Amino acid sequence: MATKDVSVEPFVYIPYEGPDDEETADASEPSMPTPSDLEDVDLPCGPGVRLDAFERVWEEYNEKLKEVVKEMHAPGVAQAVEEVLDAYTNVSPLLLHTELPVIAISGPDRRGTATICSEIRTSLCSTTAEGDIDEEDAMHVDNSNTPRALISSVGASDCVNLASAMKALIAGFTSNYPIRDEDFAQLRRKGTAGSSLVTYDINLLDAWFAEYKEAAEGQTPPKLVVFINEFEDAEPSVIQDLFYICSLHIPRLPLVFVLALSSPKQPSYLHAVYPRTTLALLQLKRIASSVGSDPLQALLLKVFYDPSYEPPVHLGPATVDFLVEQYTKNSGSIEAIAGLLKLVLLQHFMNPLTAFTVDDFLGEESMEDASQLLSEDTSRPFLRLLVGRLYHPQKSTLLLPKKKRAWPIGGPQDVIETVRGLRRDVLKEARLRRLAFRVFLLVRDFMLRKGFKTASDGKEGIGFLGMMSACLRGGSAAAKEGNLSYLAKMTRKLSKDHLKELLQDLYQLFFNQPRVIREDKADAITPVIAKWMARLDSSGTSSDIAEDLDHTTIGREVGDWLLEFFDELFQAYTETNLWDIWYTGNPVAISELTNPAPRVNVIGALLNPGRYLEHTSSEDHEKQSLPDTSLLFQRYLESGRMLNVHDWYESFAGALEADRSARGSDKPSKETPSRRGRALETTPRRRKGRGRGASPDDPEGSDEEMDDDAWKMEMHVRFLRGVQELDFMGFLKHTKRKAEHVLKTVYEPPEY
Amino acid sequence: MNDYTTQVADDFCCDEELVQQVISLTTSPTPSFAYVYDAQTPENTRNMLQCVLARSTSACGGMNIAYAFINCVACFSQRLLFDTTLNTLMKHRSTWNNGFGLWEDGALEAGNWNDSLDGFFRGLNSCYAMLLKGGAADDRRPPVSTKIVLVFERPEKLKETLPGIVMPLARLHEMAKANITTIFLGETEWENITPHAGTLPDPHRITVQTLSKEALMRMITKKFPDTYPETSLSPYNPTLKTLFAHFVETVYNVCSPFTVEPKELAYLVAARWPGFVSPLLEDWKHQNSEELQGPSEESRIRLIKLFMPSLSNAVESLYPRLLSAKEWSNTNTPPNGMRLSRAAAKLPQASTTSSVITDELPELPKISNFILLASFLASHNPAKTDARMFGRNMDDKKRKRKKGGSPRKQGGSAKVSQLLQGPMTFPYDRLIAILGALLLEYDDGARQSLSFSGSILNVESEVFRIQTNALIQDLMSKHLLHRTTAPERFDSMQFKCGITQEQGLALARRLGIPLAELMWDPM
Repeated sequence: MATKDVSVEPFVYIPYEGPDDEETADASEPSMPTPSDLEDVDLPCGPGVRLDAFERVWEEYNEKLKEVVKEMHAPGVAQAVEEVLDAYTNVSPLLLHTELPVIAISGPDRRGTATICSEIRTSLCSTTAEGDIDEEDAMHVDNSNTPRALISSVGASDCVNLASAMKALIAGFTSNYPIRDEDFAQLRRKGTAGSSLVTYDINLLDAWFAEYKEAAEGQTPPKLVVFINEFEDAEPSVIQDLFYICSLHIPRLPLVFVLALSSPKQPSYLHAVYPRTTLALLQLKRIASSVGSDPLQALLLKVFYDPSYEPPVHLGPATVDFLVEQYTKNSGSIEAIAGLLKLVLLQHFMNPLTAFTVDDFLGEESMEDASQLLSEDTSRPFLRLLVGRLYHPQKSTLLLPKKKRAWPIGGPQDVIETVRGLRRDVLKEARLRRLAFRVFLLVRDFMLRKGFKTASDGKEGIGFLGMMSACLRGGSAAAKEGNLSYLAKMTRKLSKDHLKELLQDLYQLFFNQPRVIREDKADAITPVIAKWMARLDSSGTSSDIAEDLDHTTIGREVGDWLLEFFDELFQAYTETNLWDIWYTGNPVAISELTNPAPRVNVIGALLNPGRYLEHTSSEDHEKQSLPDTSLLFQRYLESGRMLNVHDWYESFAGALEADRSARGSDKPSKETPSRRGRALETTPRRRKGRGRGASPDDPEGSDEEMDDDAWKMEMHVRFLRGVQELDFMGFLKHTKRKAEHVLKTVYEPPEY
Repeated sequence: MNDYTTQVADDFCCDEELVQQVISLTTSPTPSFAYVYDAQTPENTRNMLQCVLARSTSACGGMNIAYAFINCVACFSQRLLFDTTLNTLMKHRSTWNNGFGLWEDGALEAGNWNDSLDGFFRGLNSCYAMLLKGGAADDRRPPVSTKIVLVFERPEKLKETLPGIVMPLARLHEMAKANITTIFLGETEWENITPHAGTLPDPHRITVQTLSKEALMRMITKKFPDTYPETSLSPYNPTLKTLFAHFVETVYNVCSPFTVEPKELAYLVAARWPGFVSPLLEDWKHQNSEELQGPSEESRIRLIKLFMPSLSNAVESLYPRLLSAKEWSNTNTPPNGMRLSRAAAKLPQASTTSSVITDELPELPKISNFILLASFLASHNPAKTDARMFGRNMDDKKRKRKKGGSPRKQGGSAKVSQLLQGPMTFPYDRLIAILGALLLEYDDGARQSLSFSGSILNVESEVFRIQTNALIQDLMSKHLLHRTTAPERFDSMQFKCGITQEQGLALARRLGIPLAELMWDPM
């Protein structure tokens, strides 16, 4: 120990050389398999193959997600763009002043609002006439089209004072859009600093825009659009003046403001913070960023439950539930959900078997190479795992023919073939499940539209999202969650007109499916529906009673068919062998990573260090191996509101002594109390003596005495180190109210 | 001259006396500093001033006057103020071609004029010299007088941005050694601009009287355009001008208790007028004769009666700008095809659309809702009652309840309910503690554990999770929760709830929490 040489000051930095309990903490997460576990069964090239697969899958998802989000935002974006382009037209002639058009994009999701703003920006930058001209060209005036709008962005950080805000606003236009290829900055530099307009003078923008219009030669002058990002963070007094100054120069400068608010549309931030005089200058248009009641529902429906889109990896029911829970409970942000999805995928691809997810050949060129790879020695554990899963599945239902159960039959090539076949099965099953889900939705919505109550009484969205995961669990879960029998019952009781309408809708749905699904299933169903429809039509000609009879029979048939259909297609996702290659598993461990509870974990670790330390000791050694910090913390919890540092030390020293005497066989145990008493009594004096540095010449310095002194010093040092550590973690609060006392910050934690 | 005064007074709907005063102010050498106080229509007075000044410079005025209008909000720095003053005074335009250069007289380098007050005085002086020279060269006879008039609008802003400059501006006449008249055109009293009256010369004060009803109405009626052809089926058909005058009068009568600002009244008029005339236009559409006629006396009264209730509705949502005029008139147009000749006795009530501003809270994540409710309770319950309201007994069964619903009567002064006093501040620890208590009692997710201690542990970890803290931050950015301590202070943060009682109640209903039971002093 380094403590022997510590002579003068007790307050020294002591590097801790014991086992480091922090590093081992995250490895002991219960449900995440550690990399070392997986390495044993992995292919030598496995991580690379799986990373590639992950990247491919994530890229595809990302594109799809972006597309869906864009679609969701489209109405808001279109509205905003229209507002911008229509600004300063159709102004009522009766007004005494011109209003400054301001479009406020508000939504609870900050990142969502930012996405909308960037979409508005791109939409404004593209010119109407020639569609996709890239941005650079659109900005150019030499191009035949002047852009519809020039754009300047002002960040909240610019808005600390008026000068910087104005400067950012003006520079956004003048430095981004060159006129006749002349550089604005250079032009200004020609004069001396004091002899031209300052950069934050709005007259500068005025003069610049006059020139811009002249260069554009008679084309409609573009709007000057100013985006203010993170509007709430901007200083209101600055923005107030900014709006006032801008309002003095309209409509000569066709300024339009677009504000990105992260506060909701209701209650309005603008109205709460800005005075009426400022609001009176503006023509405010407020647009909510989140369109539709539940964006997550729409997103899941479009990405994972759309029969026309085939996701490369499917979400397991646990994942669906997890995403829904995280969304409703914690974030309410689609972008955050996308982030979680990425993590879910990453976790999914930690499973060595997922090397097969998108690629049958494990990253190799051909079947031969792949089987070559599998037959190598290093691949043996992987192959064993695979074969074990293939031929000894946990489920009783087997998809493989009986004769193939013996191992080994055809070598690696055969295994690959089997996996390939399984993939086909899984994809087909998933496809059909999505189709069935759509049918379920259609019937359910139809019932709701017609005013029938579906038995899921809660909020509309909840039953819906619940069904998303239940239909994956299959069978009875789906029947219960979706209340399928009730749905079928309602169908049986439908009146003739309603039945006809429902059948028509169903026919449309099946008819419009992509080819794969039509071949699989839909083509078999459409004629049945057509037949029912025909029977319904013809039944009108006969007499009333017969007609009534006829349509109830048809209704009953349809109801029965629906039940049967759902029962057949809502199969449990685990039915297929090797389902974990294509379905994500339990993502609960991710939640602990994205939303950790550090406080509880720290206290838990201090109370039960054994759980976190690798050298987990047996019961009788537990007391001995408690780290100093834990010892101190236990005593800390036992005290009252305030903690006397001296008492704390004494108690700590007592524990150390007891520990030492219990371990040390050479020290008789009866000595302990007296030693302890003396040690405590003499502590200040001893410390002083050491402080003078007199110990080397100490006449009384016997071996035991030296040992004793060193031990006391060690106790001091360990105490200080522990206290410092607790202080660092925030358990202590220093106070000057009482000498030698510290305040506690944690009282009586629940049992960990 | 008298004719001219009348004409200007008529053009700008103001007193002749005022115009007379302004004319004498701008033409005579003294006073060199004047304060025009106009609380109601500063824009109008400004335009009038400009008109008078422009005429004085023109040939018929025969004077050699240079003038500039400077907005003190726009000129928020000294440099900006000097640049703008000199540039507008000399009608110099900084353009692309002159490299956005400032005005200079050739002899002196301009750079010196805008870096200090002294430079500014010299600049003004050389302006004045230019004027003298130019006046002499232009006209064969010597001009009557040469003068500079500077009008500063919204001078009250100077007190904030450039407090040191008020005095020099007021005494420009002597300091720049030129014939300069400084006019402040303010919306507040002169006393509000100058804290130390002693250091400043007392201005010559002109107070603009508030507009009379007639003047106000004339001002708005004058905006009725006469560019539309007489046959057009537009709300701005000149035939409707008399109806418009009546309409403006009605609007004035209804709205004058709330506002007499001409800008606001015009705003209301502009929002309502197209809807107001639409039944009449509908009639026109169906009539056979080519000639379009204004409504008869009787139908006019009927029309006004029909729209009277919607006017007060308009004031309510338009004056505080809860809606813009465009949105409001879109939601409040009379039903399609409604004709005056067969109009119903009443307009259908406009449905409240989503764009109307309400107090309703948005959809928030579940934990956010709990945090908001906890903040509401923390802000309205006294801190020392927390243990009684949220604590549990030893047997974990039922929490202690206070007796009865009303606060204990204490001797002395009657206590005012916290709901009336507004929210109190509370520390972070208290927020977390109440949040934990609420989650423990009312959140199903947290109670999943079978044992009581298990669910306590669940809640304990929940309230200290990273996301919970992130959500608190998020609520602050949404202004639903306020932090009263400085944002850079992490230790002992204090908060204040930002939701109203109604919002709190709605929230509690959403979560199924009996809020009244949890409040110490429910109203």
